Amino acid sequence: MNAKLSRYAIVILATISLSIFLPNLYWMVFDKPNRPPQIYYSPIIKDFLFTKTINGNTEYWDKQGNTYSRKDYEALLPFNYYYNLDKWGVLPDSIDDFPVSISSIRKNSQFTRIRSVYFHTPMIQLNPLFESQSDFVHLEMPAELFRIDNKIEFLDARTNSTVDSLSDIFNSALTDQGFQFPAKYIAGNPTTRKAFDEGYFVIDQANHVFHLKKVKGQPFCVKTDIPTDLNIRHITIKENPRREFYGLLITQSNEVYLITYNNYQLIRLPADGYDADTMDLLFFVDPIYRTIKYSNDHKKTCVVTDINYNTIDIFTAHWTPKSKWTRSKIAAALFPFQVERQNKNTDYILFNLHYNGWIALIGILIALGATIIIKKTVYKENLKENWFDLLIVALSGIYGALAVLLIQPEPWD
Amino acid sequence: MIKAIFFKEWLKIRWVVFGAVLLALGFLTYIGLNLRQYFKMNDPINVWIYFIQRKVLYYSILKFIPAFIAVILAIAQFTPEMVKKRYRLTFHLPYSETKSILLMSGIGLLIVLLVAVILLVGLAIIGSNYFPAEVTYSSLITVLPWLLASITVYLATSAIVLDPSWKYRILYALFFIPFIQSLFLEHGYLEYQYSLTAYFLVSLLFGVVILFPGYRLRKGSVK
Amino acid sequence: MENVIECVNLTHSYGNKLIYRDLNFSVQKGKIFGILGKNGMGKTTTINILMGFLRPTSGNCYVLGEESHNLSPLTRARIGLLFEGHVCYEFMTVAQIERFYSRFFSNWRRDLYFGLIDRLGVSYDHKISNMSCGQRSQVALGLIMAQDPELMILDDYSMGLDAGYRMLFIDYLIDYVRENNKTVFMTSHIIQDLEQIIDDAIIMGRQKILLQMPISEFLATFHQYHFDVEGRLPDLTIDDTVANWENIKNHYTVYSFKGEKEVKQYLENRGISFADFHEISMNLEHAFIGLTGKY
Repeated sequence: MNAKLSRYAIVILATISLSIFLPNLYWMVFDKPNRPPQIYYSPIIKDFLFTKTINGNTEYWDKQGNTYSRKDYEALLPFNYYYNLDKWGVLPDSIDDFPVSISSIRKNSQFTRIRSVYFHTPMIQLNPLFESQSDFVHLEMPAELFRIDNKIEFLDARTNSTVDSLSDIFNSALTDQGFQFPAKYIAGNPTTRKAFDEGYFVIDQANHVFHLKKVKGQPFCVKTDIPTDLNIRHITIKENPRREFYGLLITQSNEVYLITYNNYQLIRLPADGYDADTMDLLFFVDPIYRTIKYSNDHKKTCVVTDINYNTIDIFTAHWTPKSKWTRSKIAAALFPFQVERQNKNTDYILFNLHYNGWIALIGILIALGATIIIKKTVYKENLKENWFDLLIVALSGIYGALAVLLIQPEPWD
Repeated sequence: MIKAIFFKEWLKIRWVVFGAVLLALGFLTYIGLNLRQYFKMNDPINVWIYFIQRKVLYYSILKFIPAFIAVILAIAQFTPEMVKKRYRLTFHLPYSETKSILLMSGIGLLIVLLVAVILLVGLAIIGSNYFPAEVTYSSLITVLPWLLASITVYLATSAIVLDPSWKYRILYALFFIPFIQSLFLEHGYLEYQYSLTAYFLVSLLFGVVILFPGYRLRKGSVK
Repeated sequence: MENVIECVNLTHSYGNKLIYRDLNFSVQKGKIFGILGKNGMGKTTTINILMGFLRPTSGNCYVLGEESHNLSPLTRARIGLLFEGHVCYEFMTVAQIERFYSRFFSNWRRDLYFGLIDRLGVSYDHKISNMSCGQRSQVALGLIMAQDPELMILDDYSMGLDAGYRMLFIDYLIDYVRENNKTVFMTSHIIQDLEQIIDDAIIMGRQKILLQMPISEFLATFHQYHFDVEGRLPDLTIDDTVANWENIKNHYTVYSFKGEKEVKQYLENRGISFADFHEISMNLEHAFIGLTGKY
């Protein structure tokens, strides 16, 4: 009896292992690239341009279907390829009254990316609080990191102990501003590789967003008017000399906002259909447009607005998702399920059972038939005695069939 | 009788146990010395930032050590039973074969757990010496899948050694490796936070895996 | 009389290689029973089947009333088992192995074990793996005797032992068995040591039992006849009269369970003319080889 149970344990482990290994092997052989075209908005022709590289050949075209050479294509995108245009001497003097030069473009450009993986990655929240009004040009790493939960605490890396004096000052500063511990969320840009520092945005127990910096060694703490009912999921801070906005804010319902320098007022970006869990979002600022792009494995949307964030044009490219490929359907018929351990939207290791739907019945029936025939004719087994084997095959198809046929039952005493 | 079986297992594995403890302590010492050097040669805050933001695991050298010890332990414990078919002595003892196999692998598991505890305590001591509690905590959680792997590797290796046929040994290896390999996929800290319970639950199946090859051995299976 | 071991229609083959078919035998309580046969005839296979380490292709065995492939721990406690080559936990010392086994048996007779060990003159912390084959056989025997089992199963006790240790082993065994009224089931490929001790035996040949009878009866009824053939040299066939035969040129040897008269008659009936017909007496080993053949 025990040995019988043990065999089932081995068979089930084999089934799980095969459901990891066999689909991986299948896709190792049959996978193909599934990349969407790049989409840009040309300030010259005021329309979308596309480019895609297939088998090493890059093609360029527009919405009307005109194709371009690489040089002609780049000439239509001066805010992207200004170095090349300048070298060729074809950089326009002005576009829509904006005087064009390399430096004017650089000064008026900005780029922020929010990847889906940012929402699914473990991160120890111990951060450096930089001196944001230093006498020196470059930002310097402080000697401490701080944590903020039931209080704010600074830890000195040299001694691995708390710096109570500093902690006390910042605690009172936060409390004075009405901060209600424990903190729920903190966002910042904890690197010295930036032009200046805007510190951290911290959300307290009452959902108020606070802005916290260190100025001349003293706390700078502002309770912002960012609405408390926003259900903030994520904030990305990215300091930029343009000082138009601190960064981007994403809500639980996938709304995207800019946190502006204008008293922390929010500007909502048009991003219908954006899904933070599965899509990467790119936000471009150039001298005359704002572009928001977001995409997953079968859809890419590009929204263009003017500098006041009024939508000018939207384009959505659709292509066949991997799940609709014939080879995916064959895989689904072959494998009733697979164990997913990793995917590109998360840094976490998973153990997710993905069922492939009714189509898997085809593979299950074949596996079941093969199992019954082999057990009856080759192994001459009593099927009634080994009904549980058949149940395993009925639930797991090819995996279970391989397992129960290779690990055969013994004559049990 | 249980005491006697403990005694027999101890005679087989005492040098491996001794070596395993030394190995664990040796690697812990190495990690400690390595960190000391890091903090001496660099600005301490940058060392902290490096390990926190870049998610480098200062204890990654430990990754396969528990599993390695588990393999050696299982071999040391079960090969002497296979040589000259000595398992027939064990199975002829007036003690239930099932209990005796489970007891033997239970004793091995205790050693695997002992190594796990040594590593966890060592990491806790080293971590709390150099890092904030968050980092130390993350190190203890991050090594858990490796420690779970050492348990499954021990049980899998025991089953492989104990089976009477090479065909089945190879099949067990093929059937166990993809799952066990799933416990070594991390790149940074805390990445098994949400799936470790699922991996643990599946790993429970390994607890009885050894009985089937044991039965085949006891009954002289010819398949 | 109670049967301690009973095998019915035992058939075993490894793949296509048949070891034996429809073997039937039983061992009575208090008897010493031998399975004799040359190597490769299935002696160890039989013991493995009796102890449940092998499932016979067909047929049944009962040991102390239980099915042999499912012996309970309690029944196993009543069986002392000596493995071919005196296999034991060689990583233990003389004292450790005694300590180990003593925990499993309620009637453990420590004195018997150490009595034997003391004769050997090895120290108690001597590791068994460092001992000679002969010393190891004494340790194995000592352990079985200390276990005080009802049934002793000894698989080729003589393997690797020189004459001295073989005799020592037998002396101790016989003394112990007679004194304690044990049942013994033993196999061997060397037969002369067993001459005086075996009550009943089967002699195994290729795929079958050649003989099953008490040894004394075998010795009394099995004959070896020599004669010279004149004229054409005949090929004899093995049958009821001729159990085995061999010839070197015209010198013939016939082994038979029949008397001199009957054999002579047999030869004459076949038109074989012979001279110098005489019987040669045999010891057990000689008779064994006569029956099983030299090859």
